[in-house]
Amino acid sequence: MIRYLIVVFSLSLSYFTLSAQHDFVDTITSIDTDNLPLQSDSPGLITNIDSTETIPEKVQFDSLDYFSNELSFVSYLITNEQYKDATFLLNRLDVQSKSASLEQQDSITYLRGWIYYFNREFTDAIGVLSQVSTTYEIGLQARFYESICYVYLEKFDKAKTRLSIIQLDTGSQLWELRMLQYASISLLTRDYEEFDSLSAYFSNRYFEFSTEEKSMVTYHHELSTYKRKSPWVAGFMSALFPGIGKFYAGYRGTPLGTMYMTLPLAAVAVEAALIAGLLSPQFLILGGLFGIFYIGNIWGSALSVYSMKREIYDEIDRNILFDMHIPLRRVFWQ
Amino acid sequence: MAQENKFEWAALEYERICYSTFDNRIRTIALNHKANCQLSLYNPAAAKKTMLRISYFGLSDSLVFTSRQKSAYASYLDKDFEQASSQLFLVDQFLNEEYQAEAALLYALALNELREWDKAKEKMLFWVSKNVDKQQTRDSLLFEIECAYNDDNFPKYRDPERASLWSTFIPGSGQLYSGYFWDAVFSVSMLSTGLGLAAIGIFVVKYYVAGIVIGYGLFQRFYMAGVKRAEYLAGKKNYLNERKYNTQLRELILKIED
Repeated sequence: MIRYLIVVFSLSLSYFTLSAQHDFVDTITSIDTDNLPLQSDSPGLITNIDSTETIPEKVQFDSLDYFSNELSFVSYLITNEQYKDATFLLNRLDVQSKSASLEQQDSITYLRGWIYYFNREFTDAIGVLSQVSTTYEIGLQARFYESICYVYLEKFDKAKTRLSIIQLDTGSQLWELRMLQYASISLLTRDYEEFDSLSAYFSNRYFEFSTEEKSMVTYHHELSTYKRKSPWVAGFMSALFPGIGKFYAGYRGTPLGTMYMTLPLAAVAVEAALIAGLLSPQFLILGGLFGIFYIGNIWGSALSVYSMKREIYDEIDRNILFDMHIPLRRVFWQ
Repeated sequence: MAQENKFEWAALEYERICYSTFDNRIRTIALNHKANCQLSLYNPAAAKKTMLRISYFGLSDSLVFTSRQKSAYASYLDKDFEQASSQLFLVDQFLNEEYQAEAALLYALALNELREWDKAKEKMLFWVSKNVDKQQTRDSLLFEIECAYNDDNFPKYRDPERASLWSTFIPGSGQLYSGYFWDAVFSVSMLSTGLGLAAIGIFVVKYYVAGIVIGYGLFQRFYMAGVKRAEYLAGKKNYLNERKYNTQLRELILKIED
């Protein structure tokens, strides 16, 4: 009985196997070979497709492998700084991306956003990067880049929000990178107390951004210890001698320009006063002209302390932004 | 794709070949084709950049020649005449006379732009000697080349530094040296006005300081501007003369090639 059952089971198994093979052969022979893509239409060499067209159903065979190869090619293009070609290819892939895996779709979107970011088109970059889902690791990278785009647009609250939604293990490399980004934003917003609390998490043990962590501490020191010169003192000094107030503010070339304009006019006005008298039209005209330049010199010197501060802060801000960007490049694009 | 004018896509596919192959010959051919696509897209700068990526190690002479010539052509279109000239110099150094003759006209065009007309003339004569068999035609072309490249026809070079120096010591003379008479007149008249105002202030109205300040102010501004202007005008004159002469030479070269 048992032997009979084994024989019946074996026969039925053979039948199903054969019928499955038969179905497979039927499927193969039923394919319309005339409509198969030519060799040149194989993945990686697709022809006759406009960027706006969707890829025909039959060309989308082995799509995961195809998209994987295409993404490697995009990486090669980006590494070789051929951003225009990379964008062109990514736009095509984006049109065809229905047959890609979700992770590959995210990669396509991420790379498109990354190129926008690299070309400093931050609004477009945010628009694209925000479409990358958080399901895969590339979603983390997208959130970091999205955040720095907001920083460049000076929308610091949104930048922090984008960073805060990332789930990270405390003490991990990305967690510390996020702390660095938070601390950098606090420097840009001149919130030194927040920076102090965040910089306590800098361990300097990740080579990808340990230099930047040290730099941020230096920037913090420079920003917090910088003392703006007094506009009153600058104005008073320029009232005593034209241009000296700007020298006090920190400028070295412009004081000479101010002297060059004001001192000859002063000499002319004095001469007019001595020759024609204080109430003469000559003195009133030339003295008035000198007065305009003299007051302008005092006012300019008083304002120069603010412009000097602004210039120093702008330079530090540029350095902070650069030191926020470099670690992202090192961590996510190796 | 290139045949269907989809040059951007074709360029990308040629780049894909570079990406996927380890064979330098195939890579070189692909880069040549990519440069063709970029030239078709009127982007000689990109084509030049593409051609400069070629590594010439282990390539056949014909491929080296094609690549160097295309690189020179793209550089010439991109107005990088030094690069064009150096590419064709390498053709002369490392390839045989057949290739040198083929590249001679392009080399002559590049040398014209670099003011090396004597060398350009040599290249033209060389090209005629190698490519024109009929004696009568050859003599006629040689005569035309001799006439066009006669020393008397070379544009006179105005040294901008010398123009600047002339104007420093004798205001207006730099403009005259550059060939701009009315510019010189204007410069001298403005300087005279400045000196005149100073003289009136000092000797007539007795406002010494005002006379010096206003007169000197005007004089100093126009004096410094005149020195700079003379330098600029010398450069402008050189450019215009060279453009005119090289346009004539280019027409001659194109006529000879036909």
